[in-house]
Amino acid sequence: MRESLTEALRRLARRTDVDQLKRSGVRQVNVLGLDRIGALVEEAVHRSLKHRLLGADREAVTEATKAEFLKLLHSKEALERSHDELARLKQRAEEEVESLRLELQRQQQSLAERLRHAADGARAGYEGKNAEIAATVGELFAAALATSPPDLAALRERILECFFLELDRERRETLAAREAAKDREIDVLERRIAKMSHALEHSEARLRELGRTHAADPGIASVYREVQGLDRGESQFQRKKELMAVIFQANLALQKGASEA
Amino acid sequence: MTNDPASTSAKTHGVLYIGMDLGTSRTSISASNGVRETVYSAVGYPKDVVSRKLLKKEVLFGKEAIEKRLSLKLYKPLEKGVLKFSEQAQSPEAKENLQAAKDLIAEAIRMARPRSDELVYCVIGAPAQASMKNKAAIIEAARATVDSVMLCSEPFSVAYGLDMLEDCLVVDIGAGTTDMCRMHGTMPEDADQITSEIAGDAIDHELANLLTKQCKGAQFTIQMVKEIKERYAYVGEAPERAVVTLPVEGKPTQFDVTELIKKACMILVPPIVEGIRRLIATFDPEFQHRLRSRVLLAGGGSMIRGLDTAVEEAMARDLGGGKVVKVDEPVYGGANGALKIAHDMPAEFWEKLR
Repeated sequence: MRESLTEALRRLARRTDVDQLKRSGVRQVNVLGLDRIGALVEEAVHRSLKHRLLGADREAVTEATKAEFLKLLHSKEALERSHDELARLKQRAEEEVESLRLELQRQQQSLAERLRHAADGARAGYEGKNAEIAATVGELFAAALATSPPDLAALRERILECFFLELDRERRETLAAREAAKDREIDVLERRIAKMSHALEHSEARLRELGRTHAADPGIASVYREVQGLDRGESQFQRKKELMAVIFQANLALQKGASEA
Repeated sequence: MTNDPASTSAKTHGVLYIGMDLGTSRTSISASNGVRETVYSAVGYPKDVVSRKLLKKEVLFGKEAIEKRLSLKLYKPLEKGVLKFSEQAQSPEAKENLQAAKDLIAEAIRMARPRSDELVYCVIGAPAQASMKNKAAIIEAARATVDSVMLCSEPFSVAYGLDMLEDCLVVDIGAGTTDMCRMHGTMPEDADQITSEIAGDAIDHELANLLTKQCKGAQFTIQMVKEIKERYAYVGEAPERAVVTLPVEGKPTQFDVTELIKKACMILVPPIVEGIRRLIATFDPEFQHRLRSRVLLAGGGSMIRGLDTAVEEAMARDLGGGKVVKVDEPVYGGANGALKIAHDMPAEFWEKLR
């Protein structure tokens, strides 16, 4: 029984170090060994039982207490197991998120690469077209200058005709390219990226949730079971009461103002 | 630890009070379960997929965030004692900064180790002259993690924690600002408070300038300067030689910076004495001597060795005398006071703000 108690105390104890204690303002601590605490608890239980119970009852109570204590220990083990399970889930979710992030990055790079290629192709096409237009305009000028005097009105007409023809063709090509782009890989990539971003967001939220659950620290209980308030015996009670009211009113106004805004 | 009614209804175990000092440099908490912690007010998020994988965390805080800042998008959500960009709430910077502030406050609450079945009531010490928008932003940041929250003036909470509610002048020296506040038994008003921007950060910049001028070729960052200051800061008689090692063209080189540190720290004294003079001069003449004889130095800046004596000497010279004392716990003075206010606040007030 004493070993179990010592072991339980060891498991339930929180570890800390000297630096942590210093930061918390603790300069000296009283030390009481686990064995000694275990012995004291055991002794207290035995004395209490001895004074209050008859022999047979005492045996029954001792057995029942042992059983209850072991049950508590098992429940702690079960809790630890569920902690391990949560840790595994968290690990799996982290891996999932990681692979989603990498895939998303890969897809984004692929999309950027394709868009860059498309832009390069268009640029090359423009360069060829520019040379073609320059040659046509050169020919028109040469033809106009061949007559004497040069027919500038006819030259203007021919250049405009040529310009509008090119403009019209360019517009048609742009429209067609835009339509085509919708159905092609870029569209597929964009939709895939959107879907993956959504999945990533979902997985990250799940991971955060798991992180919170796993990191769930039972915490340290406050010394107060209920809301306190000023003690009537406190020095300057009336003044402090008024100050509390002023702080509250200022905060009420602030929070009302914030919620209305 | 949320405002969700479903979760708060299960909070039957007790009530945890938390006092928080939300500072430009550090955020400290004191809680009614005995926990006292402090963290540098820095929040970092991994810059990209690679750094996230390496750091294995979504968000880092305090010293860890500062140490790993090269892999992080680092935020220091407070500047000169107030939330950055809170006056332009819709800008992307304001939104990112507010998120960092929320995460920092959540981390500070987490450090208090609350139980999930306890109500969490928190009082946050805010800078004396923070704007309404700024206070609202702090409230918004805190409400996500506590059941009820209130703000109060930082120097007031220091004084309340020490039960010095009248005839006392609190000088709270933070990183971003030095807040001076006279206490005369009632809640301090605007006229009772003066804020100076000469504080811890200003000392760092002054020391950095002096190092640049006096330590030829020395390479350093403002973070390194801050660490030197925190280790050696003093005014008056030097308690020890401040010999530091800084790289010069990659070679670690020793410099004696004792006098430079004193010179940098001394920039605090004139604005403090001037603030004290203004607060005393505008006070009831019958009680001015009482204020003068109870000047309380608080905040991280009060840890500068010899500062109380230096201020006292300057007061003797310029104001005809005075008595200056330091709080016992400069890092936790504000948080302890806020905790006491949280404890003394009546239940119905907390309820109304939930």
